[in-house]
Amino acid sequence: VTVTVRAYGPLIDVLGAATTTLALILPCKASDLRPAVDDAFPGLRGLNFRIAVDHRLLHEDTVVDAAAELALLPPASGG
Amino acid sequence: MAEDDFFVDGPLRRDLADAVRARWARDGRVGAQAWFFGQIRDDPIPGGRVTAIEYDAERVIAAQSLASIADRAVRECACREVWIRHSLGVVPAGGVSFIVGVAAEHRGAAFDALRLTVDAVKAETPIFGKEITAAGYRWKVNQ
Repeated sequence: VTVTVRAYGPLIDVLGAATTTLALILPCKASDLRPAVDDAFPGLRGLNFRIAVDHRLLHEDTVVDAAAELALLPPASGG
Repeated sequence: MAEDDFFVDGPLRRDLADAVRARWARDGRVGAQAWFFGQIRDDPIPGGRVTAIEYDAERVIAAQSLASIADRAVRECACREVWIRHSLGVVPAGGVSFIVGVAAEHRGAAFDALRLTVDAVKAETPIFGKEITAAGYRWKVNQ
């Protein structure tokens, strides 16, 4: 399936845009998402960020059956 | 609390907290109110002085995070209530972007909950700041 990838903070500059798309093979484990994202966007490799699926942060063993959006969340910098 | 209750577009007006301050003032069980108003510094950074910070957030997760942090502060510090607001969008230097209020029976709990809440939001909540200068921008990094 094709999912929307929404980057936040400095990851926007790495991707070159706040939103893009990614082809995923589902179902997969949440722990499979990071390698898929890194393969599609090599500039993200080694960077510190979490991936949320449809506005939820998942345990790495969680099976992802469906997804419309991945959010790439670097360390917080609010306040 | 609804997602949008925590967030305000642009600077936070300092009188935004007046209604809750007044409500706590009428509460006979409240012996201490502690307040934090975070405002934008005009720090010198590469490219010039910071003229504004533009905030973005994963709003759904950020709202859940703020609610969870407020609950944690109430539970761990034995205060009565924690009230949080944060800006999204552009806040000019000098503007307020983050307000936390705590109501407690005693000052110790109020101070503890205020510190816990401010520190936890800055460390955990997926809100992201972009420091704007005349020459461009730099992504904010929390210490």
